[in-house]
Amino acid sequence: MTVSKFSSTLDSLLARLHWAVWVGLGALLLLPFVFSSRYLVYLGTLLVLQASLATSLNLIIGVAGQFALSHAAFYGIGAYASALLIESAGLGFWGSLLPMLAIVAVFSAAIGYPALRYTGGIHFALITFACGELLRLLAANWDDLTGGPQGKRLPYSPAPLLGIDFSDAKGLYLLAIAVLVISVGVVAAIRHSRFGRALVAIREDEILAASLGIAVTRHKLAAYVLTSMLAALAGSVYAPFAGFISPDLMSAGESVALVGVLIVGGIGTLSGPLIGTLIFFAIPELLRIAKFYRLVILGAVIVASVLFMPEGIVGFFSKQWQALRRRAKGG
Amino acid sequence: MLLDIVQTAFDGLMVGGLYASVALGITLVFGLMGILNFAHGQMVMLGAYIAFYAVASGLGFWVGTALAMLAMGLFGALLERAIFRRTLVDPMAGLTVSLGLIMIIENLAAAWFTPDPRFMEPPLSGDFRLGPLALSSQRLLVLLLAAALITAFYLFLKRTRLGKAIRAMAQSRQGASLVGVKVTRVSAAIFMIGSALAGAAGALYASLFAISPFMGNTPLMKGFILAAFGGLGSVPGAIVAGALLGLAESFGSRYLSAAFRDGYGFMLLILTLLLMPNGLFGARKGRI
Amino acid sequence: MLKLDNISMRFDGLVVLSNVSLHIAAGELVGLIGPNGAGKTTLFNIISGFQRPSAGQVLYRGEPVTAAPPHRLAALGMVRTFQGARVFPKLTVRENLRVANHLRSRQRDAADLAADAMTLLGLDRFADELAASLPAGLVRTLGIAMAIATGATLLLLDEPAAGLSADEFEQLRTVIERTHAKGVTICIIEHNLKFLMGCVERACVLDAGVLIADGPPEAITRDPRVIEAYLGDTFADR
Repeated sequence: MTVSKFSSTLDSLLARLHWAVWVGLGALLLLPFVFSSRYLVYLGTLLVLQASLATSLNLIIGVAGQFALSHAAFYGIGAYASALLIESAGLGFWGSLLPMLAIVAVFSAAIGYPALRYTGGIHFALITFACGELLRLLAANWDDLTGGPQGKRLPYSPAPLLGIDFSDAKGLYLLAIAVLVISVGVVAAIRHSRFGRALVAIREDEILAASLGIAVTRHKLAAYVLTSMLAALAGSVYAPFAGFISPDLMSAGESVALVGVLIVGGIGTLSGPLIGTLIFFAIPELLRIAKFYRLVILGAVIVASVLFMPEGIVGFFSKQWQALRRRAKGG
Repeated sequence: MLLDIVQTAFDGLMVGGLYASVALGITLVFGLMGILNFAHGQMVMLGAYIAFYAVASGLGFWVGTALAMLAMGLFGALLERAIFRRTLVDPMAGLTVSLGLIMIIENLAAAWFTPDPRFMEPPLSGDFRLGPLALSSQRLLVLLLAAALITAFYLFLKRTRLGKAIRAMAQSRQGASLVGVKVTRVSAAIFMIGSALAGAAGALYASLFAISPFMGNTPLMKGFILAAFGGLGSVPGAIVAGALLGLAESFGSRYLSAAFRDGYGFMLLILTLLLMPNGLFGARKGRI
Repeated sequence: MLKLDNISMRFDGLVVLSNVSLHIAAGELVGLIGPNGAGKTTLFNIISGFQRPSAGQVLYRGEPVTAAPPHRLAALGMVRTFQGARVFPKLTVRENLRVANHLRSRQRDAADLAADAMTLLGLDRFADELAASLPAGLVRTLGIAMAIATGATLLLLDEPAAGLSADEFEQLRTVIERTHAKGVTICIIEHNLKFLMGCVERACVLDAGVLIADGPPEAITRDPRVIEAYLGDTFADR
């Protein structure tokens, strides 16, 4: 085989590998339907929601390059806001979505705008961390509204739509998948858009981006608000799924774990958050490792990733693949 | 009424002193190495447990505190050498790796020590009477010890050669290495000293409050608040900020809402970062 | 087109710029020269919105823009480059230009502008190369191409020739001439008088924050104040 023939074969093989990853992920999604096990459906829903969170977090961290630590807080806000709208305002699940998203948009804009005026990720990281914790404390202490630190039982489920019954576990699993699809879709669309290119430019060099006409703060803010809204959307599905919400959902530790997922899977890639979630949650869960040791392993993976594979697992392979492709083309 | 205020102020200063001991390590490491070490809080937790086990096995509080400082100092040096030194190029990597470290340390501790809260026998009990004032003896001891540690540290910075090297590095890393400061050694020293202080704070904390494997996060957050408020990299800043935060929390809990205690600190942090991004004493930061 | 009205800049007690007033008309090709530390880059920073002057006004097409942020000025047509060839090293040449195209990408001729800039400056061959892998001269060219791709009508080039070889000088000169020929107003900061004098129609000389001369190159090189400012350095080298 001549060099060039080998190269082009390698190239097309690598191109197909990319598709294989997505097909594999898609197949995993179908497992709960195939095996009809209550446990798998439960685990699947949880994982899919976590994967949505990781994907939407990737928008602000991976694409825009801004380290936000408030993601879990907005997950919780989405759950609480939608629960409160349904119970107190008498809206149905579907009716509560838009108002809930509007509330979250306002909150995140209020936090994001002053926080993003400064260059340098540390300020933004600290402010989002602090605001997230503050929101959690609010939820824990405003007993009348939120049921306090013990949390709140939620007896509702979404009304049937398109013939699907959402009071059933499988129905909620489908809803979770919908949220995942929306999150992935939004991030994918942005990455290929003018807005996405501007975010990447901001991530790489803010000052240069500004000199080329990109309104830096406005773009960062838009990314942050969008990210937070997607987190809240996942939260609104978590509420009927779990039947119970508490301020623990919103803890900074959860936000940190999500960052860990992104690092492990690969910041900035589309499949990275999904694979990271799998590794982070599914594998230990399936191996039935005791909770504490699981987190120790995950922490070790984070440390190892940062030191040896800064682009994360998917990012690492993606880079190798791209380098190989470039060599293959040149060869 | 006045007694109440004095009592509350005393409590606030004591707590503030503890916070400041933790913050010193954070603010120096950030100021000199640009790394936001989230795992710093774990030093406090481990120091607390070392003191707890020292007391439980009969070695006593003082030995326990000394052991906590020693052990954490060594641990800090180890972390700097093995991990943080490699992340100097990218501060965000340092932050992230410290997040991983938290997960490892915290959960190993939970697995080994069990998550149940433990209570240590404090060396002192009863009250110290000063006229109409009755202050808890142990709390007074903690206040004095924290103040002693902070003062010792401050003197160390001002008077010793290593301290001067640290201050030189704080001003300019390059400049310092040009005049012969061994930057890597000083970095290791900072980690060591900061961790030792945190370990001591942990031992002191254990003498007053219940300890658990997850207790590191609160002092960590308070440490960040102080560091940001006082100006990242500024030692006097961290100290003054500690006093102020301690007082704010103490008075807030006493006269407003106790359950929201931690919230006051977060609000202070947010306000500081927004209105005074450089803190009380910190250096200028740019913005577009 | 661009009018500077008594721009002054004080920084920590040091006077960096002092009552600088100048006017650049549309279509001109002007040089801004002066010894090290004269305040040239500070002036650029002020014009392009990265710094605010302590006093004075910047007017662009009659509109006061002293307080406008850089992206707004870019939208108005005024774009600057940075010393030392600033591009996005981890993106390809094509991607760099697409970012630069941000302002125009809503218009129909968007892709054309980027492609034009690429062709104009001879970068086609490198379209899919990472910017970091290009030789210094080409990175410089890319920086300028990006500024052009924004659709700028006023280009502020900050020391584009610094550190280039003789061949790269010629490349750069061609780039500037071609861009100017398309109707873009250009103002260049340069240290290298030999390069600049053969390029521009008019030069403004800044020394210690003060504008000491303003006129055609031949007059400038004979001006005693200018000669003194450069302390006897001949114009042949530097």
